[in-house]
Amino acid sequence: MVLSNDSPGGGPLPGPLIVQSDQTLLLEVDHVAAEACRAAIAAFAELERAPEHVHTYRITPLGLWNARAAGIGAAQVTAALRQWSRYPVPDALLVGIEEVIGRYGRLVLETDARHGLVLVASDRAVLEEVVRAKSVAPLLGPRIDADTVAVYRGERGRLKQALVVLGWPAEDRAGYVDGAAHPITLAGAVELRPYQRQAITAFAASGNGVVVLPCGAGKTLVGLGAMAQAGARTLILVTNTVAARQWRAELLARTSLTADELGEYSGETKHVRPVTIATYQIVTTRRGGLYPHLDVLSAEDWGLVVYDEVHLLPAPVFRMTADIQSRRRLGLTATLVREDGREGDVFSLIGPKRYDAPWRDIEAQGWIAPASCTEVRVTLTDEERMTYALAEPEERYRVGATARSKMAVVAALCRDALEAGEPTLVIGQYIDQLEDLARRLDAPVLTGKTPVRERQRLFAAFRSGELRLLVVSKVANFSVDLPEASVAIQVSGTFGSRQEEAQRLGRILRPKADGRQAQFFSVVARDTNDQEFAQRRQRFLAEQGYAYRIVDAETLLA
Amino acid sequence: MAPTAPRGPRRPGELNLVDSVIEGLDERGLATLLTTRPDLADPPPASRAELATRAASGASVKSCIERLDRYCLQVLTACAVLGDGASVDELPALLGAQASPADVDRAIGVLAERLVVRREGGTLRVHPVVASMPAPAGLGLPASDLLGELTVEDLKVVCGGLGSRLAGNERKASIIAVLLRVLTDPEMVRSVLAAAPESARILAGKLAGGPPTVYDSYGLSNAYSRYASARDLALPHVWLARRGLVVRHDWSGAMMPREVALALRGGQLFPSVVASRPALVTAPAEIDLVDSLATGKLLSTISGVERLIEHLGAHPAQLLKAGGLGVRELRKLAVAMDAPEHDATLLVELAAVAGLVVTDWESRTACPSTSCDDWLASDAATRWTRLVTSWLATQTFPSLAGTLDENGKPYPALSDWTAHHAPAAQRRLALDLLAKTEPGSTTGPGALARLLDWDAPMLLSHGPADSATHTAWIWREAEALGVLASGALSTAGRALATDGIGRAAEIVSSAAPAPSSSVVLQADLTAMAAGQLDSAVRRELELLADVESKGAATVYRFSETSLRRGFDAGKSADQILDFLTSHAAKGVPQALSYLVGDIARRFGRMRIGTAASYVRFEDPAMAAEVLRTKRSARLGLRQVAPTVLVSDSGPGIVLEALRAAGFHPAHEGRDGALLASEPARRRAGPTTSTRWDPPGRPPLHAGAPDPTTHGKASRDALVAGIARRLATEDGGADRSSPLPAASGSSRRTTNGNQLHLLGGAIDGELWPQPSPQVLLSMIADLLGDPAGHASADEQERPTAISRAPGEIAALLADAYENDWLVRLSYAGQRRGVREATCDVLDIDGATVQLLEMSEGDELEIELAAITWVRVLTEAEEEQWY
Repeated sequence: MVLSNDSPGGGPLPGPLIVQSDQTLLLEVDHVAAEACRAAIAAFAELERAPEHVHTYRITPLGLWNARAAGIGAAQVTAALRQWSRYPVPDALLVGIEEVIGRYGRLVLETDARHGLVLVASDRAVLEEVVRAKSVAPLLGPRIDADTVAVYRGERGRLKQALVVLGWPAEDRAGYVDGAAHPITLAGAVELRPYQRQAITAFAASGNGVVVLPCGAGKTLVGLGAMAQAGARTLILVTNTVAARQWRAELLARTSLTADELGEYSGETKHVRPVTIATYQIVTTRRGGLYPHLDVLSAEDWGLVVYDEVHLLPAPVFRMTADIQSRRRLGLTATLVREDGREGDVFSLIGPKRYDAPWRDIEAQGWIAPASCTEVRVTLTDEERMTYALAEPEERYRVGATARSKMAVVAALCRDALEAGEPTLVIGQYIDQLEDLARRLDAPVLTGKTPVRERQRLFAAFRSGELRLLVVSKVANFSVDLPEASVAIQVSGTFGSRQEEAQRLGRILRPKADGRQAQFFSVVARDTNDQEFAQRRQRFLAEQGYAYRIVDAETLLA
Repeated sequence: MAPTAPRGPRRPGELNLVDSVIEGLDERGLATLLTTRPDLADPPPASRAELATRAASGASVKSCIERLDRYCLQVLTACAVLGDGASVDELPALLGAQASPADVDRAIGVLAERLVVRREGGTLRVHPVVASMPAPAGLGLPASDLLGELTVEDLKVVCGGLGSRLAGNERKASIIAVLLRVLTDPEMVRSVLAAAPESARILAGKLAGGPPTVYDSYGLSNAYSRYASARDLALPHVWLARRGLVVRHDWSGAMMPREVALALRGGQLFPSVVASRPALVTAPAEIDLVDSLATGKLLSTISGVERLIEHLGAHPAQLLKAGGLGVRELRKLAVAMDAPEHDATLLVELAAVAGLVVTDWESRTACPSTSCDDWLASDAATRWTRLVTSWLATQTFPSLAGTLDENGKPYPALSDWTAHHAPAAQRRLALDLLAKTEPGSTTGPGALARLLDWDAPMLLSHGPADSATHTAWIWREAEALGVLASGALSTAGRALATDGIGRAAEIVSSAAPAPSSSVVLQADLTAMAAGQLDSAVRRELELLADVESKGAATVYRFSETSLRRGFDAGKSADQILDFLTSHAAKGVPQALSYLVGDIARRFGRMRIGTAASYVRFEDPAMAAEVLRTKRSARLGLRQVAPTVLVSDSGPGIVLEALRAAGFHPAHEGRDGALLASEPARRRAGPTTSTRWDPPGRPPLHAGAPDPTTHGKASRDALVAGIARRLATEDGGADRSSPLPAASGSSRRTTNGNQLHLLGGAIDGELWPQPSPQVLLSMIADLLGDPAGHASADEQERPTAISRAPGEIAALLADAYENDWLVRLSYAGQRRGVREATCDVLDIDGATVQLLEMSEGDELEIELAAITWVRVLTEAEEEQWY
């Protein structure tokens, strides 16, 4: 194989990129030109996998249109591929790219002084095609002239969604309403990291979109930066109350906002203030077929809506988002993988991905802690295997994942971690198992049943170092800032959920004061579907460059 | 314009053009002749006399005409129209104002040099083959010839139509003379047509441009009748026929006389005559880029053919009844080759042309040839050489497959083996022309086609399409083989055109990167191989991992299933790890080596084997006792568990043997219940079905009972008897009844009754079970009865639903034989019964391979799993095609 380091005769090095016929791009990361090449292709291709040696990008219509929206034309894409490719790029592929990019912008959404929102076509045939489409027709108003058709104002989001599906994405030049102004500045001491600044710039240039950053990389700060840029009333949607409190604390500490300007809209308090933090749960609360809280919040004149953990965004929020297409929208997430496959809706309603960086890159820059991932395979006792074998199919995962043989391994791992002085989290899915573990480990357990006050107390104790070991259920998957945790031991999970695995690893990725390595252990029952699910869960992280080492429990205990 | 009066195509007393000229040729003249008419030099003529004879032969003259450029061909056509003995001065008028006398002179010179025309002072002598050129320039026969075919009555009608007066008692010749006066006068022809209805004028315009004949037997039958109806008279060709502008010819057609067409063409033979050769428009290109594209393309073609051979080796493709590969087969091949269908078709054709893939008419399949192994073992340059030389030489059109025929259906691949005489010459000419361009200059297929169409229009238009299409085909094929890329000849392609294959292969050899044997393995269980991978490494890797992405590089993914294939193929964990380690450029990730070890740990913890019967015991001691008993030795009992023994002999035999040894075994059924033990009655296998005796079939052999009048049992016995005799003749003297007549069910079936039966019929040895159709043909061959084959083809579609196991097997075999689609219900692998419409791909004793029509999935189903099957009616089948 021709690798970057062998260039016979000292001639020019062959490029770092291989363009495949299935529209994937393989980037050899050890190549000297890899970074320059990555910068060029990241603009139009989606990073699909980033394992240790070869990263895979994929060229998709969405990605190409996204690039075109950012002003990158077919010529630039073609040139980048030709420049970096090691092998000749198939002509058919380049022609295909030109064709796809050419579909963008033949339809333009504009604001017309007389007719309000209009859809204008530079290609009449395309307009004729789309106005006849069943999915589009109900969203359109009367025809104004041969090239223009009125659009119902509230249908802007749905129209864009439908046009993407039809393959004629509209260029949205209708702009945004600025919302009620409300100046926000970052506190003087706050210094943005380079990638955070890039993410904010990329977002501000378009006014909508999603920023993908690993847990611990400072997504909240990107949100604050975006708010400061917008300088307007802001709605922040978060997953739960604990996360809401954390945002509030961050806002108070790192911006010019005062407690009076901040409102919380949750099950406990319902204040609408210039900057309001609402939980997904409250906005999706339904009463008599209506969403009373959603309506209250939608009625406000927001200049920016921030969606935290956008990969968890529930369906009613999508609907609300479709209605507020004239507001600026920022999505924040560690992974765009949605277990429900609604990535397309995130794209068309919140906006395209504006910024993304492989986890390992940010780790290499020292912004997140380096982490090692280990899968510990536990051999079940004969009795446990028989129980597993005889279990109902739907019970099998639970039986395997909660096998008692895991106990000794978890205990041994905790003992080692505590001896080394590492703050440790034990994370699991099943409450019985967690409570058993807590008893055996003599540690407090934190589940969905734990009152918020108690949760905050435990988190605070853990943060202060008073508490070294905490057993948590999936309530701690998201948005809980535990900067000191450096060891996480996962004993069971939500089947093969890739994003859960990423979130859990994220719990320990905040950079440590002394630069220690974080350790992530996943304890898995051998020869059960626990093992299969574990493999599925690991796929996202493996693709992000985290290599799992697999060890046998016997070796570990010996 | 002065009316030209073309002479008839043939005249008496023609001069032998060739002899006299050849006698007078000097050495240089002879050399010119042999160069311009290369067929005369090969084989070398022994004497002038022989040369003269060969040069005068029709075939040689035709071949000469084929190589004339467009202008010379036009001049020659004009000569043919004028006929032998015409004046040279008539030529320019016929060719029109665009032809200058100097150009005409030059063309006559060329034609004279090639001995097809000769100038004698002001007179042109034309070779008889030329003079009898059919329909020159799309013109019909001269009016005098055509009118001679009509009756006097018909001619009078035409005279009436033209308004010519007749005295009423003229002879035929004089009527014709009268008509000729009108029809040979362009002015008069035009004035007659000026009065025509528009439809007739349009038709006349079309016929004048050629071809000159319109066909309509019905309308023309009344054309000259006094009683023609108004409707007949309104037909445009009838209108023209009644005025002599077309003349009934060959009963069903009407041809426009040559003079009329010429008059309508304004006296000019061709709409345009261009004496100067068009230039080939070229643009500069980077030869390095061209070469790298060409190399990439030829490598991908080679690897496509390699994949094709590998795929066909494992799954020979079924041919259509009419020959060639059907759309479904081709789709499968395209997937295997990782090529779009259109390209896959070409690769299949190129592989066939190179003799790497052959069609076997016995089995109606396409499969790799024996010589393909040498090809697979050779390096890229050698492989390319074979593909490209056979392409250059083939007299077929590889690109024809996949194009649409006149009915709008695509020609299937591997269906057209018609040898033409032009394709190889067309390719050669195209390459020669391209080789004359500057290295690194590009052109397009259109520009090349225009030039080729000027240089050798006859040659290029020979074949199933027009010259532009033929050129486009050559272009595409040359691109696939890396001879052309980006519109320019690659360095190898240029060497092929100028220096020959040897030099070209050297260039390919140095340009093609040596196949690499190293891959990058990653912790996400993928492997990436950049460029061409060494074949052996690639095959091994494809055994252990699944291909995820193809192109310049290949990405593989390891999974438990894929690695297990390696273990299935007999590899050990160490062998697999050694292989990975020796080819991993950056080491083997721990996750992968762990996975290999983990599978090794679990592999084979369950074992599956074949046995015809089992013996189970209450306690291990008794099992040990039975094992030690001498009389049980011949049963070949093996202990698979402390209380379980198995045997390859059937339960009946085991039962008898153990009873004889003094034990008291009981025979149990599938459900564990005891079976009442009756004395064994031997029977043939369960497949006896109607397919053996289509109605009206003659008795199988003399003295045998007529199968059509006897019951099922006697027919069974008959078939079993023949089968037995057949097998005994095979040398198996000690096998009393070895062939369970085409048993549709497997011997492994544990059905008690069948075990009884099979155990009795087969003594301890597994026999391959011939499929019903094989057995049928064996029987037919044995009896010398060709109807054995034929009768199967003429079967009517059965309409009944078959449910009995034997019937199911027979019906599926029938469906396979006759290409019928079937609807069937079977127990799926995961719970539940499924129904599907399928094409039967193959059937053997125990399983049937099916192509599920709606999803296109291939299924392998045990016959025992099928609950019912029926053949689709023709109407139902229509919906699937």
